Amino acid sequence: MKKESMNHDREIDDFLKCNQENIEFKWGDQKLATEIKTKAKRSRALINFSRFVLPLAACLVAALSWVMISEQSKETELSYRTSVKTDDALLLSDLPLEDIELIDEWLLASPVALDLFSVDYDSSYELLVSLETIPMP
Amino acid sequence: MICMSNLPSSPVFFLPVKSCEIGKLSIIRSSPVDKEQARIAEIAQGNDEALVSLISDWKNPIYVYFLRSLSNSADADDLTQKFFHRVYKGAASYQPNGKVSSWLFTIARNLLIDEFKKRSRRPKESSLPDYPIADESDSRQIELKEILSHELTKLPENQRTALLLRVQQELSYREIAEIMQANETNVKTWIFRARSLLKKNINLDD
Repeated sequence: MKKESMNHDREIDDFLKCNQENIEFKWGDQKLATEIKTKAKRSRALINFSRFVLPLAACLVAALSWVMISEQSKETELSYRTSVKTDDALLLSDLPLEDIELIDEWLLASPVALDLFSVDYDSSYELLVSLETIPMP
Repeated sequence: MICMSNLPSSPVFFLPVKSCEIGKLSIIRSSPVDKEQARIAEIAQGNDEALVSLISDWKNPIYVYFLRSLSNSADADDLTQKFFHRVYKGAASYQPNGKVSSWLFTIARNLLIDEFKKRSRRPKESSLPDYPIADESDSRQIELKEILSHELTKLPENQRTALLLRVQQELSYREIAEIMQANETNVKTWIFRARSLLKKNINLDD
């Protein structure tokens, strides 16, 4: 029994050590070393490339987005300004040139009237009445 | 530092002594452990010869370790290549704390564990161990190898690794414990259990 167990131990050891098999790693030493070095160089180059390219790409994206945002804000500002100008133009265009000149004169003549909250409506009214009565050139 | 003049005049001694000076004469002696560590340092510095010599010395022990763990020569081949690639990459960060062999087998074992994890995620493939067609005379040997190969792959990873490192690589219990990050008693138990299981299955077949 003990002899059999020892026999099995030997068989297991032989199997684990690959004693009765002609087992060898197929790659040559030099070939494998060259392969390893090439792979390592390639991966190092890839790492360096990604180290350079990724920040560059991030910078480009940031710069592009900044340009796009500033363009957009410029466009918004421009469209707002145009709309404001258009509204003014529409109001003024409704009046004839003489009336516009008259309003200008009136505004210059009564500096108090510029401030809408401190307008003396009685005098303004009188002024308007007088203006109405003045014969137009 | 230990000086040569303090040592007995023995022709061969293996102490971790790097150098000492007797007058203007500088004598350099190094142990095999130091040589192995120096070789790793040389690999880290890009020395081709050191890499070739490491491959030459370790390719077969590592290959048979993978072969017996995986029971497939193609996979063992791939893992051996990966192993040397990892050693080359890791040479720069190697800390000479223990034996180089322990460091190498730790890398090999980690690779093997990664491989088993990958396999567990993949759908199961039928992988047959590659043995030649036998004559009647050695059919018993072939049958035995098939049984052992099958039973070995069925063992828990720690038991199989401990047994392989002990029997195949002839490492001490202490080194195995260091590689497997366990204590020596556990290692001994794993080896005993693995061997008992294998013997039991051989007996069942008889």
